[in-house]
Amino acid sequence: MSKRILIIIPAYNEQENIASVIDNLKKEAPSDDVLVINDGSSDHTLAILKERHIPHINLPYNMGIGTTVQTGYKYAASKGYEIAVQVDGDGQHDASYIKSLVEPILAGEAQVVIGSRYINKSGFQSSFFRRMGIRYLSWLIGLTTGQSFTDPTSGFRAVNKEVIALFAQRYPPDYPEPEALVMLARKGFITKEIPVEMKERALGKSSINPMSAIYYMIKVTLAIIIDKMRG
Amino acid sequence: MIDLKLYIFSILLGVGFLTIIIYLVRNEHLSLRYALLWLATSLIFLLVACFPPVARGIAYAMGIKAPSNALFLLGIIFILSLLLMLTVGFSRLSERHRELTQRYALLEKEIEILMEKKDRGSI
Repeated sequence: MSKRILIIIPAYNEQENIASVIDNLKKEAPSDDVLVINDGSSDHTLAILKERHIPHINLPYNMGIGTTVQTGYKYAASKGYEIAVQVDGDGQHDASYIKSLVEPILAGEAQVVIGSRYINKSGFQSSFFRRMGIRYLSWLIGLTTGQSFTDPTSGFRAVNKEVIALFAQRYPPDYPEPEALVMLARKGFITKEIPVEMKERALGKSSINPMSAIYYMIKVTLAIIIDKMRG
Repeated sequence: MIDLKLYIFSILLGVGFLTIIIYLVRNEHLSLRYALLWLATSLIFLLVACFPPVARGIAYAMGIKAPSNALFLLGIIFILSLLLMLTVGFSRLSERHRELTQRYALLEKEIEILMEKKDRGSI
């Protein structure tokens, strides 16, 4: 395949997972380039990246997921990649699905493809409360955009060149996944969800704790409503 | 007539405030650009402190009976607007900081790529 694909992996304190994530990607998507963005990790993530000669960009301090991922999109845009695939650095996303994520873009069916764990409802389904939150966000996004997403918080995504250019210019700084979907819908991009299975994160702790869940919901709700007001 | 103790206290407060602002600017803890606002504020404070009828005039113009209430209201409005301005300024700074950090990281990556090419002798 002649299409150049960049796999963007945001990583914050993922010393236990990052090496196996990369090994999996090399096995499942050997022809694609990978780029880890180290978000100012305070553990040995950067040392592992250097030691194993894994291509990476290092943010000097912790900037949050949105800024981290956007750095990857900026890199993809400047190097002229045709497709960018976003894969979490914690091992939740199964690299074997990358092929099916990219396929609708190659076929010209969609410009954005989201890997959803709630289409086939198999694999790790997340906690009850998390699922309720995701359902609420799906409902809210459906209400504001008229498009339905079963898994709007999924960070397992593939986008084409036009979306890379848009994201390089503009990407929400915190809790970006649902907000980015609303922005894409507003700009008229065609999105598609495909079924994937996710795993429970292998090791280390998630960046979202229950205490911040309410803050997350309020902030994302506000972001979606404000994006709607941009018309 | 205004109580003499309050009169002296307000003037001392105004003078103290003005002195602190001048001291901060002189020692470069506060840039002159932002100091103008604070200088103006402390001068207005001093003016009202020295000439109590000014406060009464303002209160009358606002339709408020007690001059102190008018001053409190104006003070709160001033503080709120200042906070809003600061938050707007802070948002702009964060946005620039974000952009700068990303550019820095991307440039570091470019240098790394160039160095590798150089080591391989392809430049």
